[in-house]
Amino acid sequence: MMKQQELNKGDQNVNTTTTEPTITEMKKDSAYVVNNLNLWYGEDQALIDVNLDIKKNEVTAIIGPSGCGKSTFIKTLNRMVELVPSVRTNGEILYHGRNIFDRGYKVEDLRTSVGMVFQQPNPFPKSVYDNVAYGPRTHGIKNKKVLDEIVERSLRGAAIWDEVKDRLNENAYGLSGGQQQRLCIARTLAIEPDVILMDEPTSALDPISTLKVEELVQELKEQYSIIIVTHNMQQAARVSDKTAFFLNGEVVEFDVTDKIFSNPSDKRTEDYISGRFG
Amino acid sequence: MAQNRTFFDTKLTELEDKVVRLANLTMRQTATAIEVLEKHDLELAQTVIDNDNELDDLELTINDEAILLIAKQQPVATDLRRLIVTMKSATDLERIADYATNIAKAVTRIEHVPYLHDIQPLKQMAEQLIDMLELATRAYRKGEVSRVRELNEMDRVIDEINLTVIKQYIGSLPAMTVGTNDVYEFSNIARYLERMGDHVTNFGEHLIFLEKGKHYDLNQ
Repeated sequence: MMKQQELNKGDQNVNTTTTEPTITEMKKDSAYVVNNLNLWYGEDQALIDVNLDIKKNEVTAIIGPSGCGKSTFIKTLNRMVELVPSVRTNGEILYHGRNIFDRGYKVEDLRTSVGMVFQQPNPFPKSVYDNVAYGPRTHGIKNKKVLDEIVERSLRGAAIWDEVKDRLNENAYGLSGGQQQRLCIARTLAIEPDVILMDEPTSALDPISTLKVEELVQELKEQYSIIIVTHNMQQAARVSDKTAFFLNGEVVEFDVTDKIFSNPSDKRTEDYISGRFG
Repeated sequence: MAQNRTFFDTKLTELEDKVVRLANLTMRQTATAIEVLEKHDLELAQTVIDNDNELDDLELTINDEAILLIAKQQPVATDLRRLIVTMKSATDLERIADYATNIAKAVTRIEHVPYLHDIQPLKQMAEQLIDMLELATRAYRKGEVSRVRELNEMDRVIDEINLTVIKQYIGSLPAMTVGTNDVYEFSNIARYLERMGDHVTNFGEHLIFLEKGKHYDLNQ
């Protein structure tokens, strides 16, 4: 169990001048602890009593049919869901022991340590180099040598360095879709997050690029905690350590992936993963 | 819940029907092999030997079709277990049928008719074996595994008769002036029946795995 000082030390972004948020004790190996999370879009409830303990350095897959709340859920983890005006939540999501919904919690801090990769690759209309350097520059890093190092390390981390090292000054739009997606992953790595959220990261990619991203996910989990939403059940089976099955806003089953795909406990999970509905 | 996988479900059911067919053929081959032994019917022995090709082919068909379904349909969970169990069960059933053929072949090598040895224990083993096969096949056909664990006890009876009868055959050797080769064949038949029992318990273990996703040893 972590002591309060250790938690504060571990989280560089705690703003101690504002109202001190409550620190809740969390298991050391948890990246997120979600307790009784409910979410509404206006009158419609999209998440119902979600409880999940998402572990560090694991790949957690979120699966479920369209409209089950899986994308909504992943977007609550960096509070992106608040961009929808009618959203209302209750319950808590503990991250480094703090509820990210607390009034004193700065969303900028959260998004600095929680990176996100989207369905469509979304590089900036800039050079490959500037795409990756964008985040660090925003954080005030100007030294060319330091930026060079970050760019190379991030591109290597995203398994795309060898493909772009001679084209760093070319526009990112000239890359293939699969390369653009890995560039976006590199851009995420450049801000040194500890969690990477991936919302259908390969649904716009060809099969070879998909496998490259899947291989990358396996490598990245050694340093990062990864939460991936996917429609592709085989992908969830291939890349994840744990799988959460969402249905109509509820978590039907959350277990180790081996169990979910070989002998799930709930009939609805079995029907979904074996393609009987959804 | 809407059925999205009618094609796959149909194919899988057809495949399981083939396993049931293989089980029924195996039972028939076993019963016929014992009839060959009882009557020392060499013509019937040849029928058993010739029929074996059909069972071998059926096992290969089951394996090929299961592999294709796995490759093309990517089954998971219960679907995948059902497919794996068709392959594993087909292998065990085909082995049982091979032993039935071995029994028929052994009978053709027996020199002294009427037999110089008591075949009653062999008949008892065979009856028990066919009961086991019936129990397991019914359980597979109906997806009802509650009685499958009885196979363990039934197989133990076969094992005991086997030990007794082999001792009996070998014990008779010193007093024999003729028919020592036949002792070898009768002992082999006992051993084949004992091995067949083990393969039926394997079949039963697959059925428990199918239902529960857990492994269970019926051969203790």
